[in-house]
Amino acid sequence: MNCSIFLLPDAAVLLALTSLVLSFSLSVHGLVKAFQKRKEG
Amino acid sequence: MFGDVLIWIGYIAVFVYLARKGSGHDAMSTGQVSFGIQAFAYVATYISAVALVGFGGLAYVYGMQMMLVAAGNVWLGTWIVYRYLAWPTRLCQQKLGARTPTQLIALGHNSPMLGRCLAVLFAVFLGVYASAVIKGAALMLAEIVPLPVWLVVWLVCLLVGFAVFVGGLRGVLYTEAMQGFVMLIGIGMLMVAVFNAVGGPITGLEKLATLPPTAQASNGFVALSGGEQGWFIFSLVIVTSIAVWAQPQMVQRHFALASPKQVSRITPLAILVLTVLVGGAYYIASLSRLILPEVASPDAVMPTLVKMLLPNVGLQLFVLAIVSASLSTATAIYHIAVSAIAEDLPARKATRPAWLLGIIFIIAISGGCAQIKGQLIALLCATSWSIVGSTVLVPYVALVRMGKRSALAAWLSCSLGFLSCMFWYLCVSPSTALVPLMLGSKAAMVPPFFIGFGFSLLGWYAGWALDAKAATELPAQMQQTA
Repeated sequence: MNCSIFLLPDAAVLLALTSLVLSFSLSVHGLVKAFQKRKEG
Repeated sequence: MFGDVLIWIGYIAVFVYLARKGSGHDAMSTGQVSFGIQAFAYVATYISAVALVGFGGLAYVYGMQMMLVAAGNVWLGTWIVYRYLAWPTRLCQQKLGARTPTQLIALGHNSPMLGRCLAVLFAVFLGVYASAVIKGAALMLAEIVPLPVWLVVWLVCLLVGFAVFVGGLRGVLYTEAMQGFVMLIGIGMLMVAVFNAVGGPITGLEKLATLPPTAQASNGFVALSGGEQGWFIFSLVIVTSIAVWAQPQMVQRHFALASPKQVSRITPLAILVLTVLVGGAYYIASLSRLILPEVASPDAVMPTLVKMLLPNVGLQLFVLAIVSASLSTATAIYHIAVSAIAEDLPARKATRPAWLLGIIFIIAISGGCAQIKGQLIALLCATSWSIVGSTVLVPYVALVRMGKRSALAAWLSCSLGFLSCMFWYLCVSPSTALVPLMLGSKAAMVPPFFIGFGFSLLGWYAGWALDAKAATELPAQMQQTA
């Protein structure tokens, strides 16, 4: 079991974790974009 | 001690101040509400203490596979809702002149009688469901307030009733947003403490992967279990992420939307807050297996974790977060149940006295039910989410997303969805069956929502085929015809 983190969770859990990281990143990106648009005008 | 009292007084003062933001507004109207308030309010209504404490306990038992539930809540329960349902719902509501979710379905499908039946369903199921939510908050509060639980239950009922009476829908949105923010702080603090204790999120995951499998986590704590346990997780994802689409308290959140542009701002914020709240809560609850001793019940996981890792101020803030999770869900449910009694059932605009009477009635129902341990009450609480979802999901989505309007199809869909889901709960589902039918272990594993949804869909198509008056009008073209 002493292997890289990416080999540990099975596909379903890996998918869940990846999608949560993605949702976090995309939402931060979306908010920053929304605020920039608001600032511009 | 003085600091603790200050925190609680401050919380109640802000709660009352925000509830009063709605005074002077109609109980069903929100006025202009900013995107931040709406995003936090949506998440706070979605996430109750059951999700944080109950599902946190499940994450301890099942491990990282509970992250599937978090991902489902974020993508299916929030992103899809704001991408495909929220704005069409608002357009339909405006075009039809609907003031409540019940009226939206009744006017949309040209059936006032269907509206009355749904009003009874919402008042009964949500009124009793509110008792479970309020009892959760009262039990948590009784841990730190030197008062008996029965008294705390009534005090919480009165506080929620006050917010709904004084603030109406606008006040409810503002108090929910504040509660969502408190939840975020509470879970954020606990995340930092747990990550510190296990050596970080990645190290924690690696350590968790080395633990031997158990009966519930049959493939270990970082993999989806096989057989019944894996199926249980999958059904939890579907029930908590799809049945939520048509819960009236969630549908009503879309009534405050101002424009599609506002929707595009609410979506990332709601997703961000929900990702941190449920993703964070289930992640640390899974990791807690590394630092917690054996716990008597999964429900004790989060409280034990908090007592073990946080200082007293943190403990108070976390209790506030859990109480907030309960109160925000309770105020949303109260508002729907009261409007069902005061406006949808008599089919006329609620007057101020009728609104007050509705609140008193719901306080009596929820406060009273919270005091007694009855089998029927436990059944109603456990079944509410799936029953309501099975009954109205299909006619709601057909109306707002596809513009399908048919009284017969809506009636058949609602009736078959309700009856089949109820039948499954009463006769097949092992944990709730009062008259068990031996349909085999495979049938017993099927969640009642799946059955209810399937029959509701069948009923819809049958009704649509038979209804000569069925019509398709996109939300932008809809007019009230009932």
